[in-house]
Amino acid sequence: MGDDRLFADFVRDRGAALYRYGFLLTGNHHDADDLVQEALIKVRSRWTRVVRQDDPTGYVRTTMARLHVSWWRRRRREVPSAALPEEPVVDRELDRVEGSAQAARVWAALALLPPGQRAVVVLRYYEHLSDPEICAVLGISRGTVRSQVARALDKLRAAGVAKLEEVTS
Amino acid sequence: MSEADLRDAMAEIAERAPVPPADLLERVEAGHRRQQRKHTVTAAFCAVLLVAAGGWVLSRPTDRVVDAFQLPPLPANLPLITETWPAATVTGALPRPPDGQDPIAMGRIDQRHLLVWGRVGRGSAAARSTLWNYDVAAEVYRPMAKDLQARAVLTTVMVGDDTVVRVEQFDGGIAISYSLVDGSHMVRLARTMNGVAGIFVDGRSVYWSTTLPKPLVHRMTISRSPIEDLIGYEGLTVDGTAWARNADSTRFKHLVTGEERTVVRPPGADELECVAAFCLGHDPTGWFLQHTDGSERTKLPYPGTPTLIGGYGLVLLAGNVLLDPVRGKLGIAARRSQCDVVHTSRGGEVIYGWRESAGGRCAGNYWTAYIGAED
Repeated sequence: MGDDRLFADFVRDRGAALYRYGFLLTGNHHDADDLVQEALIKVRSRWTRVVRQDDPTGYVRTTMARLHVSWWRRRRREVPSAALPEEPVVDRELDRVEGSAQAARVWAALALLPPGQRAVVVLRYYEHLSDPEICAVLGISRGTVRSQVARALDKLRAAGVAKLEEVTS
Repeated sequence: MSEADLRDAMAEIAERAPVPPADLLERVEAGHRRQQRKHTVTAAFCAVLLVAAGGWVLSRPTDRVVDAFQLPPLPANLPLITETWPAATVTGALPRPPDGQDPIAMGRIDQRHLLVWGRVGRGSAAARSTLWNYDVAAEVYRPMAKDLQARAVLTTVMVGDDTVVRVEQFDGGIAISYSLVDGSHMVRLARTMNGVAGIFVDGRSVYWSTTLPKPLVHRMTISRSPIEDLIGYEGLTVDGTAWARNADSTRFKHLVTGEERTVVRPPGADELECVAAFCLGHDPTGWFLQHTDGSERTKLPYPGTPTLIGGYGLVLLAGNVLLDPVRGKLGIAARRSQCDVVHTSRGGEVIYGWRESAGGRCAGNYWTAYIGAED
């Protein structure tokens, strides 16, 4: 099986998971879409090497996290508009994807975090990575990981996501 | 909130993530090529690659089931695409639209006209977004829909007999709307927070699928009838053709007629890829074609490794030869050596891009062909 086909299989098999990860990192559909596509384009150019590693998904995850932090350093944060230009037809799908109150609180609190802290939280609590693994993904020291986590959890606590001291390491 | 609660909440949030667009791979491949080209060719070539990124078209997907595949021998002088498919659209690089936007070909309106989406900037920096009607022969743009919401990403376009249905992704959800081909009478049909996996337009009805919490197919008329969930299509998604299919393309169901086709995998096959019209497979004896039900299994009499491009069902043979095994057509894009070949399918149509190489260098102009079943 050629590398091209392997890459196509990788995109097909892992695309949805990468979009979920990207959505948590960026906080909105639009940027998640851009982030996943830009990361995959970067990975595509190195695919011959990447595919021979044990963990191509980890490589893409790293690329996305670093790209995301880099983007947010370069551009001003913008509040996305949910307004559509015309009156919509009521769609029953809307009700089916409403989240729980707990998820809504976490989501709102995550929006308060700067990208570096948000990335650390996503990698730790969604991707279930250890601190050394987060160091490798973000290219930062273990001390920085710890301080980023601590600051992020402080903000989450302040935002009303209670009792997060239980999750500190 | 405990650690476990936080993990659960994030997992729940992640489920609201957008569904990858059906053409994610094509977009990535096109972006990859665009990046490569930045290092080697002039900026004009970058716009060309966007053509390969975009492309799509409506052509009526095939419903034909033939008794036997038509596999003509390879002639010494293969006919060109334009000879085999005289109604195909072949175009060079897309020039920039009048206001300097980056052009992306979204579909084919007819043999001479492409639907082109142009946007100035991208992501949150996007400033202006326009839908253009591009005359391939005259190389002239005519605006179809101006002042689209700049941040919205135009993910899918389907051109019907006289209508254009488009799917736009906003921060606040997905919007489906239609207009006449000339861009007038734009009407917003529906919106959803759920990802739209694909759309299909047939006459006055629009079909689309969403994937959360499970794949469903929806239908409404362009006169805005209530949205209807199609019974019997659970687990299937619309891919731009008249056939909804499941995730691994082993089950197809026609959106209009309800005809079902289930793939029968022959014993010993180590590869099998299908479109509704047929399957391309491989077993220890070599490559073969079969109908989805396993009938008419036929050994491919061509050398090399074939690739099923998709769409209405074109197969790419070794040497970049295109084969329609249902209609017995063979064609090649260029008589000279090709390079930077890309191929994809959008809706029922196949999009094939190439450059010609000379003297061992891949330095020719980039061309894109849009081929439909009836071309």
